[in-house]
Amino acid sequence: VIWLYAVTDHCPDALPNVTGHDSRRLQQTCTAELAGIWSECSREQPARLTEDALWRQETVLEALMDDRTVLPLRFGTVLGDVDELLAVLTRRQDSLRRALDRVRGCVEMGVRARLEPADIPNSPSGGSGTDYLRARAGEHAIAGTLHRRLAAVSSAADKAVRRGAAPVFVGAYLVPEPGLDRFRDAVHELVADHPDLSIACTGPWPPYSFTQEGELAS
Amino acid sequence: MSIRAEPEPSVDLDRQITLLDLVDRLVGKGVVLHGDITLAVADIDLIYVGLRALISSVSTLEEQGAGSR
Repeated sequence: VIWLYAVTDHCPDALPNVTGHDSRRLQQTCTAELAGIWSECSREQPARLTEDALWRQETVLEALMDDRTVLPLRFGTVLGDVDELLAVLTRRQDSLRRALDRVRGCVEMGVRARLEPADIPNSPSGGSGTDYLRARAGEHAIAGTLHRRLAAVSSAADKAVRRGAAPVFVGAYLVPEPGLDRFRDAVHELVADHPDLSIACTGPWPPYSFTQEGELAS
Repeated sequence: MSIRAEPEPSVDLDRQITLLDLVDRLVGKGVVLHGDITLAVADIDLIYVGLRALISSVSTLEEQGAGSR
């Protein structure tokens, strides 16, 4: 059984010097155009879903990203053997290549912001209905402001507003590497312009959010 | 990298937000090869069972952190 980390461009270079889950050696299986990166894993218990395992996966992807274009696979992707991997790479070659082309030279940045100013009630029970509606409209406007500014310095963008105890803006941005400083400048501007939003920025990440799985599934 | 609006950024909060972003991406994004793959992990639900504690603790922290100023 093999644990898959990523599909990358075909790459003649040696794999980076990092180990996979359970300290297993990273290996690659190549077709003419693509490579699948994997390590052996136990059939009985392929996934240990711990913080350490998540970071191990991320470490592998970041190391790969240093010298090739990477399409990260969903955590927990396991195949029976290398033949199965070769069959998938061959069958999906065109869509995987298109997906690689889309993210080539780019990294992903994450931005979160708390949308709710502390003095606006979070639910109808905490204030009048008018307050509530005004708050929702305000969130929408702020989310739009943040997203427009960041999307303008990105080549692709994705956003959502999560509603837990407080609404949180969650954005993902695909940024060409030469444009990273420009993206960070935009974040700093937003932080300066909106000191009440508690804006946090993470990355660079492998392009997890821009793998275009909808098209891959076809 | 992390940019925070907090006057005194909390290292622990930054770490937790980064972890939350990591979980979102690894478990919720990335290429899915359904139909081609034995989605091992015994049962994919196990992933979410295992993550629930982690995610809820991080979400709670995020909200606490956001409200702590």
